[in-house]
Amino acid sequence: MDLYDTVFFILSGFLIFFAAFTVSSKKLVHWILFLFLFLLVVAGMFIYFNAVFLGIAELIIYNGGIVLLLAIGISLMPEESLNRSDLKYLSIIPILTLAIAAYLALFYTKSQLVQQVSYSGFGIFLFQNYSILIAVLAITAVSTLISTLYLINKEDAL
Amino acid sequence: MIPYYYVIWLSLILFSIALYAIITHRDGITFLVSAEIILNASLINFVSASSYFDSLKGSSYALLVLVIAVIETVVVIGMLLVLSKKTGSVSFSNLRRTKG
Repeated sequence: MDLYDTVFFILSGFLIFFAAFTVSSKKLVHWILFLFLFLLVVAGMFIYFNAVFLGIAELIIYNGGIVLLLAIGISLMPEESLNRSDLKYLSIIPILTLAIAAYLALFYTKSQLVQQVSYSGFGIFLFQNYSILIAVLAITAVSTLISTLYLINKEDAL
Repeated sequence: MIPYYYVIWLSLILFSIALYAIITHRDGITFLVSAEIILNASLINFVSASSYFDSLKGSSYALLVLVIAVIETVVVIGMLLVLSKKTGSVSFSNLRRTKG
């Protein structure tokens, strides 16, 4: 095992650790802190896979935008509304999912490849192949913004 | 370089953690966080597949999923804000009190 593999295992450990603490923490401050750290490690994982552009996009969009939006949005909610309820008895379902999927992953996947893709023509590739999809997403984003503003401003929207 | 199925394992574990949280909690915040974790697990999968199979398609999909995740977060935060003001709770059990 060389240094490159070791970095992957360290990042994976951090990812699992932060994801588990994000969903299990009771205090909202801890919850936002662990989510921030989780997203930071995801950006590190992108850079590990040579996708520097996506790593920086993750840092700007998620760590800079989404976490701040979540923090502000949650601080606007009434404090008594933020109690987290538990339904522990249903936890068997994800364990079963993990067991079945792990069985399939162990016995039906092969280790292969070892290439590193070049991202030099990523922008050209994206706009040549997915330009219509990007336009649709842009329209969706704008309409989402308008509808969310309408939803928040109108008292009896829901 | 690490075998590809290690990355699938990592995504799988993250997905299971988020699925556990979605199933065992009924509040909207846990749902939102779990959705973020699932989306990020899928992003890791896309980017790693792009790297391993020497194709830019995976990274393109990852970028599109990133945009969709942002849209989803904005909508859910807006809904939770209205729900908490209206019912005093962010639990999805209170959604039955709404008009729709």
